[in-house]
Amino acid sequence: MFSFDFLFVQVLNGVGYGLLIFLLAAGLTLIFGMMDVINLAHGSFYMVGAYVGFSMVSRTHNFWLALVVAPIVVGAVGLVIETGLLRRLYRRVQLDQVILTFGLAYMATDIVKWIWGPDVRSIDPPAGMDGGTDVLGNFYPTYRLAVIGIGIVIALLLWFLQRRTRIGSIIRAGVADKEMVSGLGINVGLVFSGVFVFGAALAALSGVVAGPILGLYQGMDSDTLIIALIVVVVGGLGTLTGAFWGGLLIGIADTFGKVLIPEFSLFLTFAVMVVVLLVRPTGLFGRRLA
Amino acid sequence: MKMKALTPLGGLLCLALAACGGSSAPASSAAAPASAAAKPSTAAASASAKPAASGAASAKPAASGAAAASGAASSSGPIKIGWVSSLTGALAPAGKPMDNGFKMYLAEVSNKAGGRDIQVITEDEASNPKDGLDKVKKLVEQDKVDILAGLILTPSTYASIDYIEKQAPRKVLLVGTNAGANDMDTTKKSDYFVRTAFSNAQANYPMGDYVFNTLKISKVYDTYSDFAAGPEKVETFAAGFKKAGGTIVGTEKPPFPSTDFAAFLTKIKASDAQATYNFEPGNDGVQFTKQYAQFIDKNKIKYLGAGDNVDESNLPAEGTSAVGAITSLHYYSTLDNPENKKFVDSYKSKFGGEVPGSFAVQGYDGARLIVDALNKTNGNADPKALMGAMLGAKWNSPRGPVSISPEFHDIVQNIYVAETQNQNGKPVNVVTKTFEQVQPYIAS
Repeated sequence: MFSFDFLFVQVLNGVGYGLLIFLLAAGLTLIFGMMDVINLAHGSFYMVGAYVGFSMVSRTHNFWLALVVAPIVVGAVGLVIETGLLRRLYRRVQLDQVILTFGLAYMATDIVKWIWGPDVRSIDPPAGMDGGTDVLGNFYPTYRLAVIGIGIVIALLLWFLQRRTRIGSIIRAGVADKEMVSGLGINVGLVFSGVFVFGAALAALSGVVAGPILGLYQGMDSDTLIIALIVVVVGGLGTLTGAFWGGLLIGIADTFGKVLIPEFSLFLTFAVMVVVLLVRPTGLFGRRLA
Repeated sequence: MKMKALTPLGGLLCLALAACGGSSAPASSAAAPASAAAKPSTAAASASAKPAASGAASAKPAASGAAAASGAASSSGPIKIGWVSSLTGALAPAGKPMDNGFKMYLAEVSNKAGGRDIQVITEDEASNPKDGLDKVKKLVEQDKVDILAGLILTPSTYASIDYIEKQAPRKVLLVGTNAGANDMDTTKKSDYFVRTAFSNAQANYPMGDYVFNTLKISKVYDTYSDFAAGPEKVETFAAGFKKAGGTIVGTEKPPFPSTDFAAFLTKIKASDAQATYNFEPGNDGVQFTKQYAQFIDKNKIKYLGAGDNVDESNLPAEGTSAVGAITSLHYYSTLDNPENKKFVDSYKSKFGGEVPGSFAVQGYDGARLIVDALNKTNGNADPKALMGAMLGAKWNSPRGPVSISPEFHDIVQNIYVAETQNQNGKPVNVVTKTFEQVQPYIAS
């Protein structure tokens, strides 16, 4: 009933969107895996990253510079939050951390509105990428292909960092058993700061990457947080592999939901989440609970 | 260790979803289905306007006496206007300019009408129907305002009219400056509600005939954000288009809000449509328009639709991706008339060079209607007296000549067709056609 070209382009749409939401979720799952902190300000890091990127691009017209600067700025904000506020709450119950990050998210919404105003904004794609490219005889937006590329590169980079470097092994060990890691003489406080800053920077980076496609608007922080939470829950809490496949699954399900059963596309992503949780309560790649 | 983390996470998802549900509330509003339209009503009842207006004006002393006796609204001191707009949340890009326009007009008349001072009490609807109704109640019951005006959301407006009619401790007139539900002209018409915005059918029904007979397009693919206004606007276009002889080859209803339209656009591209007719407001419109330009060649499948998609609040973000769109609306900032020139200049100088769009002019005209009516009633804000003074009112708005239909309590106005053109790298809506004095109600 559908031609090959049609299905091929829809798969590209699904994979592109899936990798985009993988990027949104990666920082959230990283912070949760290491620190046991559900960072409800994750969407705010994403939003602030996107707006900083917007200001950079509209001034310098250099998308790639924004892609570097926004994560640095937001990473610095993350550092201040982690060392100044969050660190004091590690010994308290988890709800306290949740309330803190939730409060920060509210503040971020108002601060962004105060600085950048309520109007809808958009980041221009990098020069030469606002047109289309021929993919197997199909005209396809170049920037979306670039997002697929960026998503894969970052996924590989994160995989390499986690599996093949010393920092990665410390983080993996920390996910498994924090006390033991600190018992081995590793400064867990420093690792926590590092992971939080990295997670914030990753959120900001995804904000800049998503800017040309999803746009900058009031409420983008909570929309993003919800998508990221769904991806993380579907993929398995705390695993990057889970976020990757969770993102792809949701992206493709969302796209084909819109194609095949548009009436239900709004809650299809939630339906996928429910089914995954029924079959595997810890998510696709979550560790089974003892 | 992770076990205890799972429990709050579930709660958090619910919390976040609830928060989101609030901001995207228009999606959940029960929209009255667009009534099948047949032909524009020609029942312009301006002739009957004068007797109604003068009759009410002559009843003024009695009415003001009644108001004073009930001890609710004061008849001396400043007139209190309760003004509600969405200043925060997803609809702030519409609510802020509406607020600017409303207050700009009041400043132009030095906040005076009918020999009395005007005091505006502003409340935030926060892009959420519940907040809208709560703020209206607070303004009536606590602040004891004399007149209500504003509201961005259709559900807030429905609920507020209902509240005034059935629950409010005293009756107050509400001047609606944005909600466009068609049935507010007829089955939901109220003695306490008058509108300076538009009806959803008003700008879209005439496009049906225009697209078929003038643009010579016979196959159209419809798309609209799936909430109250979406079906009303696009289905009234479809009714007019089909009546003229056209065929709707498909309809896509992206959930509202959406950010990624790739799947829908790929479907449209694979169809045999000659054009699309679209309504996606706010950020949805920006992303839809940008992605449309990336996926679809507008020379092959034309981009038509409601002017909301290329409103001034969206154009800067859309940039040249909007070029080629042919849309219809009751106001474009490029309209060539002296009132509009003055309006645009003064708005730009007041608000940092920002160009006013349709929301700004709706607020501006709302304030104007209130001030003119208060001048007629010599400062009497009794709802019956005010309504009498408002029905049949005529003035030259920045959007052209307008009047308030005594039959529908709604605005009669010109509808413009504009093509978005590239002028020195900037998108500009250039008006190419005017439908004169279109009635808000399209008879079925």
